[in-house]
Formats: sequence, structure tokens, C-alpha cells
Amino acid sequence: MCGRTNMSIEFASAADRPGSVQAEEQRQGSVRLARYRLVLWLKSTTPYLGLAGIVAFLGAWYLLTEVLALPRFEKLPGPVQVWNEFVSRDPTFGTSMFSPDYYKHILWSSWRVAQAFFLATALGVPLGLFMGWKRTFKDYAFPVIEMLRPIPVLAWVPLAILMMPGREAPIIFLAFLAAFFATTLNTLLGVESIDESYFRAARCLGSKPRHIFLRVVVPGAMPHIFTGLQIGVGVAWFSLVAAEMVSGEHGLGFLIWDSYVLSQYPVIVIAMVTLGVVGYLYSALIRLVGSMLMRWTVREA
Amino acid sequence: MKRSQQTVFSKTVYRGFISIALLVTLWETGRRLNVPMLGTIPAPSEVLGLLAKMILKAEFWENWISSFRRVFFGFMAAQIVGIPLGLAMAANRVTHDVTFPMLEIMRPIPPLAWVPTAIIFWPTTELSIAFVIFLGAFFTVVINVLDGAKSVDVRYVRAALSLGSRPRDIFFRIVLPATLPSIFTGMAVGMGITWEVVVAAEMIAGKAGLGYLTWSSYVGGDYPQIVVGMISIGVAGYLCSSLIRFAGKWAAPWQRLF
Amino acid sequence: MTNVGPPAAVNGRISIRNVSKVYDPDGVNVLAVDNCSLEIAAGEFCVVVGPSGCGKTTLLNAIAGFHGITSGIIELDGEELCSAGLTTEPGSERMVVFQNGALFPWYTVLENITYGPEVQGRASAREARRAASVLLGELGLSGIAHRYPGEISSGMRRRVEIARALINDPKVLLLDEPFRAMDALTKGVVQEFLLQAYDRVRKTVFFITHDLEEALFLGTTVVIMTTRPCRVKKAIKVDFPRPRSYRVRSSQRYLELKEEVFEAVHEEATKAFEAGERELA
Repeated sequence: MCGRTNMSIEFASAADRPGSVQAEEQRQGSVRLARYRLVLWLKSTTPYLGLAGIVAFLGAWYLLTEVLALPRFEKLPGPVQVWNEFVSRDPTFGTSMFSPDYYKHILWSSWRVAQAFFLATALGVPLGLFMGWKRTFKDYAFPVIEMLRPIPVLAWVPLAILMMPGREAPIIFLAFLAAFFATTLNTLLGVESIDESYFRAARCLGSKPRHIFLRVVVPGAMPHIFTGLQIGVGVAWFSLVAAEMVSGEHGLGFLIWDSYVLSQYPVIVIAMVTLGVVGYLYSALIRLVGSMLMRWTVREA
Repeated sequence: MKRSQQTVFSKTVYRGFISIALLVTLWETGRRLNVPMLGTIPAPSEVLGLLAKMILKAEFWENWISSFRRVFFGFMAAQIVGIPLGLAMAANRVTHDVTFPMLEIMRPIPPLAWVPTAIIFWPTTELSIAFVIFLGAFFTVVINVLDGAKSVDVRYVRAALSLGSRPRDIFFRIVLPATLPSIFTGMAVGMGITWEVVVAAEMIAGKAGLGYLTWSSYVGGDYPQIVVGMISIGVAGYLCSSLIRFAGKWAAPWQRLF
Repeated sequence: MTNVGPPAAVNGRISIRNVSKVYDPDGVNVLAVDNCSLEIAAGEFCVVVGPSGCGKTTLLNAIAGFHGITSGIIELDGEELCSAGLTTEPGSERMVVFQNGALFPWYTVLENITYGPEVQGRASAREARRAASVLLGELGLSGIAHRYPGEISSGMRRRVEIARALINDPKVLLLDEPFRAMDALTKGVVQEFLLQAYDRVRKTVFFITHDLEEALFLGTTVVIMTTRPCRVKKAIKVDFPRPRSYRVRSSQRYLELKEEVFEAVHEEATKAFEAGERELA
């Protein structure tokens, strides 16, 4: 560079260090940062207040159901009751963490959601991307989707049973439907929210249409796509539970309904809590995959 | 800068009509030719014919009223409890820290999983269904209000403080109006969830309503009526969401949608 | 007047003749550019100033190929680029550096720079990476090659964007208020960076700004546009020798030129202010 040297000096030392050393430093730096943030969080009142809130809730539940046994509350299972049932090796109602049936139900539900979710992603994401990219296609496809969307997924139960063979297909179809709308629409939104400047810059740089699609549309829509996937998995669980309660033979939804019918009330709560945990894990997994694929946004924070 | 929409308005609408008309035509022809894949799904002509007859009957509309009543009570309850809670959580750090973890733990549990518990606890079916609806909409409302209130630009608050506002003014004249769009978004999403829950709850444990109508049509083997039920629910849900969107625009006219 | 550096370029001569542009944002016809004519020599650093929303960006967009013109003709090296019936697609011979930055956030700095050569098929991935690394080294940006745009400062982002433009060896560099959102200190450093790059490659530059000091510091010619619809009001030759140092800003000649430019622009700015129209994006 003719003339100014001070600017080059700024970066001279950085330029000498090879990339891998830099990357390592960055990694160590982020670990230190995470540890610092954890310590700060533990020192604040936040975690303890949160704990207090949870304890208050459990305490109130316990008081109302088992101790005071207020009129309507006494029929509900209390936390102690539920816990004892859950950890006993010979549970009164046959379902605890030691009974294989429990895990069988979890697997049934999880597997159904997984199938529905993958189908919804495989169909919804490309559809959404294409609709966002080609206006003509959107004009034809979008109205159909928008007309079907207001119909609650569970209103499809009878039709699904009529249309699809067997017992599994309708259940998976319902979970799929719910996730499909969320995925497609969020993907579409993602593409449409990409700043026009990126398209222009890509055109300036001589991109052909397939480059724009693969290198601008897809990465640009990723954050919204993953939001859509998280929402999708959530509504998939929602619909699955309902479908299982109406017409299933296995699964956590079925377990809830069956326990109710058989008056095995503590099992209801066990199943509900399990649902919450498993549902949460699914969302967390998707968030994790998302953050790995989109390192550029994680670092921005 | 969003991607500009260059197509002329009418071309989009025109294409929409074409695709829907095409779909309906294919469906109708498929049924007439008894295409095996469509199974026993009734044809559009049957459905429309039945719909025309049912509109004239009182009991059809009674189902509408039943569902709407449940939706209204459950949904309203969720707003009445949820909006103030969300605002309180945004305003007060302690409130937020105490309630947030518990809410986050309860949120992943699908509302319908609560149906048996609700039936055990509440004396009537109506109350049980309303409770489940409440739960469905409640979490959405709280999250949306919380997000909206937290993201009020601090510059607006500072400007208000410079202009000599008291805490009460800040809340009612700055935070509340700024959060209104999020409140209405929460309501719109909550309304969608509400209808999902109503339909499911009616199918599982109801004796009247549009969800019950759809389910009993299936049980009774009246297939065209299933589709009538589905369409009714879709229309009802869409009307409610439109109402909310309209109310949102009225309440927050400054929101320009680009 | 002595010019240090490589001889003047022979490519990149822009000829804008009687160009008008009418467009229709909300169903209301807006005359953005009215019978505007301007000649830019090859390798010239032409700075266009004028009140906000007067239509300068419209001209730039027309040259870049993002939209067309209603009448008149724009030529690049004697060949028709843009006219009422023809709009040439955007391409890397007319590289644009955008106002709010358009570095792809999902690619690292290096990947952003190799994008152009790879996508145009001009180089294999390995060659492109090598060329990009060399260019980054020459511009003093090696240290950030593997960072994402979200992790570097706005000044660095702008420099990377200029590098991304240069690696494609454009005939014309189009910059639309590229330094608008920067603080004065960062702006100064990036301006010097741009001038050094310009001195090295001597490409034609079409630079839009409303910072008059920036215009005089950077440009060979400063063109003052009228308020909307835009037309050339005045063109001022800035004859400071290159390479320019910041000291030029305190010279007597600079102050004279500044006064001349300011008076011309001020008149237009007042008119725009009184018209009170909402600026076109």
C-alpha cells in the first residue's frame, strides 16, 4: 500500500498468527465468558426467586390436595402421591419409572412426532422457500394453504381416519398437518424478510439464479426456518396428544386418557409431566441444531 | 427494506381464484369418477348441498353458539389473567423471576393433556372445557405481552422521564400503548390455539358445539356433514381472528404495515 | 499537477444523456430524474451531491441495472447500457457498495470475497481463496479473514465490502452513501482506505454523498444535483493532486471550493426542505 503504514501495522501482528491459533483463542474466550455469566447469574437473586416460585407452586398444590383436602381438590392427586408412585418399584397403577410400559409409551409418542416432524420439514421448508422465491408460485399455492389453515388440525380427525389406512397414519397425519403449516409459513416469512440489498449485491456479483437460491435465499431464511421448526414441533406434540387421546392405543396421550378412564389419577400427572419434559427436549434439540448451523448469529450476540 | 411487491394486485387475486377453483374441480371430478384414492370423502357438491339445507335449521346455529360461548369465556379469562400478569412481569423484576420458571415448566405440556384433570376438578363439563381453553391461550398471551413490554425502546421511556412523567404516566402512556401491538398478536395466536382446543375438547368430552357436530357426524356415518362441520369451524375461527386483527388496527392505528 | 500512481484507465467511461425516470410508488407518478446529462471520464472519481431524496440513487440504480429509465440513454464505453427499451442486468463490471452494507452475514469475510469469482466461474474455489487472501493482505485486512460480518466493526465491514467489489475487477465502482452511518473518525479512516484503493486501481467511481467535505476530499469532480426531479446543477473540478492527505482540508483552495459547493447545495437543500416531501427510499 502506498503511503500510509500505520493502518497496516494495526493488522500486521494479527496477520502473522495462523488461523487455528486464533480460532482456539476465540473458543477459550467464549468458554470463559460463559463461565463468567454463570457465576454472575448464580450471584444474583434470579435463580433463587425462581426456585421459590416453583417451591411455592408445589407447596400450594400439596397443601390443597393432600393436607387440607379441600372439597374439589381432594380428588386430584397430590405431588407426594405422584412422586411415590413414580419412584416405586411396584407401582399401584402399573406405571412408574421402573416399569417398561412407561418407556414404551414415551417411545411411541416420540417416534410418531419424529415422523410427523421430518415429513413436515421435508415438505414444508422447500415449499416455503420456493413460494418466497417465486412470486408466481406463491400466488397459486398460498391461497390454498391459507384456506386450509383456519381449520383446526383436530377437525381433520374424522377425515383423516376415513382417508388413511390403519391407526397410525391418521395420528401421524394430524401431527404432520400442524407442523406443516407452521414450517411452511415461517419459511416463507423468512425468505420475504431478506433485505433486498442482499439480492442486489448477489446480482452485482454475477450470481445465476441457482446461486441466489442456494447462497442467499436459504441461508438468509435460516433463522426464521428454525423458529418455524420449533413452533412446528410444539404444535406437533399438541396435535399428537389430542389425536392419541381420541383414537390411540399407545403413547402418552393415550396413557393420560386411559388412566382417567381407569381412575388411575396419579398416572395422569406422571404422563403430563413426562409430556412437558419430552416436548421441551425436542424444542431444545432443534434450537441446538439451529445454533450450530447458524454460527454467524450466535456470535453476533 | 423489504422485498418490493411488484405484481399488480389483480394478478395475484386472479391466480388465487384459479388454483382454488382448480382444486375444487379436481376433487369433484375425482369423486364422480370414483377415484379410489379419495376413498369415502364426500364430493364438494354433496357438501354444499347439505350446507345449504343446514343453514336453515336452528340446531346448526345452536352448535355455533355453543362453541362461540366456550371460546369467548375461556379466551376472555386468559386475557384478563394473562395480560396483567405479562405486564407485571415486564415491569417488576421480582415478579418475573418468581413466576417465569414455573410458567416455562408448565408451558410445554399440551393444553389437551389437562382435559382429564380439568374434568376431575371442575363440576361441569362446560367449566372443564373453558379451563382447558384458558390454559391454551394463557401461555401464549403472557409470552407475547412479556416480549412486547420488554422490547419497548428505552429511548421512549427516557424521553417521557425528561418530560416530567411519573411512574404511573410511564406505564399507562408509554409502556401500555407501545405494547398494544404485541398484545393483539398474542390474542390472534391465542385465538387460533383456542379454536384448536375447543374442537378437540368438544370431540372428546362435549355434547354440543361445532367440534361435537363434526365428531358425531363421523360416528353417525354422515360424511358430508363432517366436511360441513370442518368448514364451519374454519370460518368461525377465521371470523374471530379477523375480528381481533380489526380490533388491533383500531386500537393501534399508528402501526403502519408496510 | 502531478499524479502519483498508475496511468489513467481506458475503461469505464460513462455517458448519461437526457435521462428521465418516472416511477410509481403508490399509484402517484413521481418524476425522479428529469432530463439529466452527465459525462464521466474513464478512471474519474465522480462525486454526486444533492439534497436527500433528489434522485441521485435513482441514477446509480439505473447504471447498476436494478431498474430502468423512462427516456434518454446511458452508455458505458460507448455501448448502450440503459435506455427506454433496454436495461442491462446487474453485473460485476458495475459493482455496487450499498449504504447499509450488504455483506452476506452467513459467510465469513473470506467467503464473502470469494463469492464473486466462484459464482461467476472465473476461478476455482482454491484459486479464489488464494486471490482473496492476497487481496486482504494487501489491504491490511488479513486478521479478520475468518470472522463473520456480525463480529467486526462497521468500518471494517465497509472495507471488506470494498474489497469484495475490487476483486471482481469492475469497470465502474458505484457507491451509494457508503459511509453515511459512520462516526466521523471511522469515516476518515475508511475514506483514506478508499482513496488508497482508488490510487492503486484507478477505476471509475460514481460516489453519492451529502457530506460536502467528503465530496471534496475524495472526488476529482463534484457534481451538484438539483432537488427532485434531479438535474445537474453544477460540476466543479477538484484539482488537488493525488495521493491526497488529510492536510488538504486546511488548504486555502479547499476552503474556496467548499464555499462554492456549499452555496450551490444550500439553495437546493432549502428548496427541498420547504417542499417537505417524504424522501424516497
